[in-house]
Amino acid sequence: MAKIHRVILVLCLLVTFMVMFTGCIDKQKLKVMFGPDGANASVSAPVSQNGGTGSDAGDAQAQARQSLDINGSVGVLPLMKLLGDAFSESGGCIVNVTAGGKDAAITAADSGEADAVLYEESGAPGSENAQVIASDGVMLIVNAGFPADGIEYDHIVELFTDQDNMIGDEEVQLVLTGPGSHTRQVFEGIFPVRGESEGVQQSLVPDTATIVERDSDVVSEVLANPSAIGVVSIGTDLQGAKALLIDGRSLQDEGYGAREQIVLYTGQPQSELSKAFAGFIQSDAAKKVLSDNGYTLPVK
Amino acid sequence: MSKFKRMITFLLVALFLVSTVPVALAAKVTLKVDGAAIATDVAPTIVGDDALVSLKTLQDGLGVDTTYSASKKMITVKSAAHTFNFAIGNPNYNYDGPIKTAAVTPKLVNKKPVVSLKAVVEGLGGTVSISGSSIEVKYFSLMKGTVKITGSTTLQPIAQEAANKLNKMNTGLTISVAGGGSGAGVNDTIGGKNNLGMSSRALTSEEKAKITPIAVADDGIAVIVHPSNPVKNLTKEQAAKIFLGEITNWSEVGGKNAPILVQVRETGSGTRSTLEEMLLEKKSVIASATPSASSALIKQAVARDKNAIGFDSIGFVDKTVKVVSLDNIAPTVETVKGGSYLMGRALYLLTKGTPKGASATFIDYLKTADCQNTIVVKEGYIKLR
Repeated sequence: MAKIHRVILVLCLLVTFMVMFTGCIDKQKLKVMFGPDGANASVSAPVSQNGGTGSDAGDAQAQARQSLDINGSVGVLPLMKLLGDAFSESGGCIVNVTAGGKDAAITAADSGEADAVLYEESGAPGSENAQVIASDGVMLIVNAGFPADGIEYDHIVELFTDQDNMIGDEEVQLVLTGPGSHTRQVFEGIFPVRGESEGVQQSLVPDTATIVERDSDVVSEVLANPSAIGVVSIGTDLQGAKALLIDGRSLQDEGYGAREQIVLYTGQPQSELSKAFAGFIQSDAAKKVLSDNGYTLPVK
Repeated sequence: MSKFKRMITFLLVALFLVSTVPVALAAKVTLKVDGAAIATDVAPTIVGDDALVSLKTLQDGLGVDTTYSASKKMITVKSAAHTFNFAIGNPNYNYDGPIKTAAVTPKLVNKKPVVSLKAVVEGLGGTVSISGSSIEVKYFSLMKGTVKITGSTTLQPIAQEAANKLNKMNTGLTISVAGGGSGAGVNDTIGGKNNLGMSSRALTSEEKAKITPIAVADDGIAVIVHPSNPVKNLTKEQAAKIFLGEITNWSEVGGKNAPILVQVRETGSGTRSTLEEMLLEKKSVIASATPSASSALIKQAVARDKNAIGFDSIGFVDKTVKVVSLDNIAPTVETVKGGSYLMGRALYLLTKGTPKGASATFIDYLKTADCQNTIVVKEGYIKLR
């Protein structure tokens, strides 16, 4: 009887060991092992793979087969790299990251060329195998004594593309962080404040805008200037500055126009690598990556 | 009591009829340009023998560029040959300088400006006819004469398709399109050897002093390798070093131990010039690289050799080659339009002076929604708007 227990224990350990490393198994082998729809089947020996670019010659083909491919929108490329690195460290698996834009990435996932897709979405994700993993966004802030409490989405675009410089009777001074900052990138991803010139997209924010280094500097400028309107990330300490309603909605309201969700899409049908990455996203390590980089985690 | 009920019933029926008949009579206004229906963001409003239409309707239907300043309430409509300046609330407008008066006054509808269709179409040389709720515009079917176009082989497929369509639509029109490369397109235009040039690179300031580039499509230059090559991404530095001949083996960038065979375009190619400008910081590609004389030929050269690397317009890329991302960004519509892909560019028609007649109309046609959706996108390029 004790022998049977030992056999069961060894088998359990073996299965556990193999399940832990499924994220790095050859995709072709996975198809054989689990079938095209990921149905359970017999489990063969796992293949663990360490490596990266610049490795020795000869096994590049093998590396490519044993890699997790993450695709997505350009706005989340830094996040894709961070999560990819964290996944790689946790599972010893090569991760390839490509930003091809949301539509191209979803197409890649559905055709099996990508295992996971990350992109920004203003509303709830509509497709199957898509889940919100974090949220991001901006607030338009003014001095507490500023006469207006709200602004329309279109008016924000007009102000930040030099088509208008007034809110009510008040001439306003724009305050933003620089083009390379996370807040600026999120702002320009949500509001269409870029335009094309000779085939190149450029920011249309007027030269008269005050450009500062950090969100906290934006808050300081707004507190010091009664005519300033600033852009800061959600979660910024406003220190008494006033966040404007956008189209009558506050940050806490459903449909607030300056918030976006970070969505993970894992393809249809899901590969085993997709499932492994989706599982990793729920881990404390992944949540730490998200929160350390300024993202707000969804409330359960 | 029954009399009272009958009265109530009668009144309700009358109210129903009064409220629904005008709705039924107000049929939806349709707008066609040379027989093709134009989707409108703001429904056109017919006023007498003219109509108020939105700026997007003018862009889509006639290929013109438009701008609107909300603070100044000013509208600019610009075709290849003409410029119109309108002001909200003022029937007078500026047409290439002189002041004219439109039959209908520009105004805002749902915050969007609408202007006189007839003022714009007749200013371009077209006609407007209105019958009931149908508006018919003729512009691209009134072309005549000869247009000779030369230059970029990247832009050539778009220009050729458009020429075929317009030649078929107009009996007295002959548009001819030939390649030769962007360098030839620029030189031919400067030398007056064509009516329109084609370039897939931006002009130098010296060239801009002599001729005018007009963007007609967007494009990205993809770095391409053989489909069996395991390399998926190169940093900008790695890609540059490969085309400069400083990295010569695939193993140096994560591939197998094999020499890198660099394929390039010929001197004078706009695609080569753009790569040298944007990726190589104005240095020249390795001199020993094999040159191909067209976009089609360089793709074939890369598809033939498993160790090859080259570059090509995304309009020419297909499954015979594999695209490598640069700094983790792949060349797609979203990344090129968004400006995040390193080698995004516009494709230009070139004119010497202000274009006239069929040459000007040809430029406008290339910028219509019809051409952008049915030719530019179909050929694999990126539409302007």
